[in-house]
Amino acid sequence: MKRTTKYSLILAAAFGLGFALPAFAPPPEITTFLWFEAYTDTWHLPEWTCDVGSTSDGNEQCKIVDENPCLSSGGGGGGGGGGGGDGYEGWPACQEVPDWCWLCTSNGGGGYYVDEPPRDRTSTNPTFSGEITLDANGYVTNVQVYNHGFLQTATLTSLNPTGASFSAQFSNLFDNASNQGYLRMEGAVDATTGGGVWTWGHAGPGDTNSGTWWVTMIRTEGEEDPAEEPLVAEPPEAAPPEEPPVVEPELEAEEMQREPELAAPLSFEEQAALVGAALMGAVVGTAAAQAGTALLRKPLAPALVPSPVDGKLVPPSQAAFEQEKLNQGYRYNPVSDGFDYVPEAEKKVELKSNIIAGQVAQVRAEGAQRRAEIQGKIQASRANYKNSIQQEMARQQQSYQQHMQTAERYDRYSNIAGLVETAADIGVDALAKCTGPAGRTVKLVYERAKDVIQYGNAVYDHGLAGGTARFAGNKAYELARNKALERAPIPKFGKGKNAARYFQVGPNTLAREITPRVVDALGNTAAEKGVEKTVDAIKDAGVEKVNSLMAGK
Amino acid sequence: MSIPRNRPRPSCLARFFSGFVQIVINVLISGVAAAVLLWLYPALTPPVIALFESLNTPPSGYWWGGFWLILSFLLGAIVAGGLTTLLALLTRRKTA
Repeated sequence: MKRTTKYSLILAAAFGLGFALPAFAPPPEITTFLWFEAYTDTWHLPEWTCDVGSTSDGNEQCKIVDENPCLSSGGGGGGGGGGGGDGYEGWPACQEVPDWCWLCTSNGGGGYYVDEPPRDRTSTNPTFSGEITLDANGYVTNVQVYNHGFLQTATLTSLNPTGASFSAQFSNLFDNASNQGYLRMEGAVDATTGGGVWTWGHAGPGDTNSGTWWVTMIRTEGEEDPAEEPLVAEPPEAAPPEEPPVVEPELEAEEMQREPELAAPLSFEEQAALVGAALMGAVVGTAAAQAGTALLRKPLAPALVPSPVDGKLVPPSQAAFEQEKLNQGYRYNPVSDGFDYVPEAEKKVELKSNIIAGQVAQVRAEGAQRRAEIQGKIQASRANYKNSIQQEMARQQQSYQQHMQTAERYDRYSNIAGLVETAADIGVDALAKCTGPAGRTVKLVYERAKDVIQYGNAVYDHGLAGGTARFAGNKAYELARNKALERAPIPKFGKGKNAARYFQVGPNTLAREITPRVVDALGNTAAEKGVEKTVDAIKDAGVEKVNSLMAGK
Repeated sequence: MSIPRNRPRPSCLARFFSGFVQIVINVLISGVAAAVLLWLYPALTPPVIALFESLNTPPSGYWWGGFWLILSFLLGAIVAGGLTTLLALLTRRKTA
């Protein structure tokens, strides 16, 4: 059994026991107080102490003599301690001086009897009253006579409870008495009712009067709701006055012998307490037995044995477990410190599949990581390339706009230069015509300078070979054109028809002005095409030659 | 499929049922002991009362209850301990 289980059971049993143990607690102390009242039924006064006569209403009355009957005749003084004598007149003389008659010697003038019995026998008031105390079992534990009237110092001298009955005796009834009186009470009581008889007497004359008593009120202490239960003070059927109930204490005591005491059946709580105790005992007994057997087994416990998988010393149960796994087809894997199940086909290969799988997974993980790095770099490179392209495009666009502006400006310059050139050509031609050799020299210098510039432009635009060829073609065409145009009439400045014709627009003027331009356009176009084809043929041949040389052919 | 090298411990449910079985066994044993005691209670009462009277002790209250509780405790311990010991001896013999 696990230690925690044991402790839990012990605690549970202890708690159960703690709750059930009060079942055996003694019942709460319940005390019952019974008030009783006693009435006189019978008088036993001796004749020489009573004056039995009739009262005015005819009832019998016991008169206690005022004078001491023990006194000798003549009263006063005499008879102390002596006996005999005639006593008072009309009264019987004392036969002998009773021992209770102490006044006989001390006060001859008269006095009262000591320990005198109650006088009033006709009053409705009780002769005396008192209280009886019962314990929880109903046993009489105390009898008390209340002090009132003539009773002042009644003392309980003996109490003999016998079951539901009891007998009690009191003495020292008067505080100034010679303690010669007595009072006996006998009866039976329980928690609800009770009653009995009583006897009053003196040591000398014996019993003087007797009567009955009964319970008139009950009070209980120790219960939740103590309540006083007044009882109707109904005396039991009054016995004839002259025949008081005879109580035989000895016989009653015998009848009320205590019965053999038997334990009451156990209540549910008590039975539960016994079960709880048995449960706790079972737990403790089991734990003790297990501990004892463990102590006995310890020296017999086998030592550690080698493991079937790696030879380490392990408990026999662990070794058996490992051997069982090996028999079931598992193989020990020292890497994972566990058993791997290996199918039959793979056992021959002795492949540590888990290791390979781990390595493959590692390589795959590394490859995936490398791939991710490369992808990142590619994306970064693409982004940089894209950015550079976008920047270049922006720069080209800006440059294009600048070139367009420059081209427009150059175009304007070119137009202006063309007008200047035309004007210069016309001017130089005119000078050459008009000024003779000097003008022709100027024209020749002008034309050479112009040729140099044109050649430079052609070389600049089309390269050395292309420019040279193009320039040569243009010059050839221009020479042919000039030869052809020399045959046309030359316009004349000044007076006459030629001057008028020159400025008048007519068919000849149109022919002279448009024809050269048409011829120039056609000639230039044809020359351009021819030169380009020639140059392209030369270039293609050169390129093919170079390519064949580079290819090793 | 891989399993640990060490011999597996019983599962939580298995341990719970094991403990529960132990509790049931103890309850049964203690119940039997208490039933025997309750059955013998009327027969044991007179001599116990005589014993208490000889010791001048009332046959009620804590002493009376404590006596029977101790008797029940000892009975349960003796029965349960005896059965446990017997079971342990039989188990060891079987193992050997």
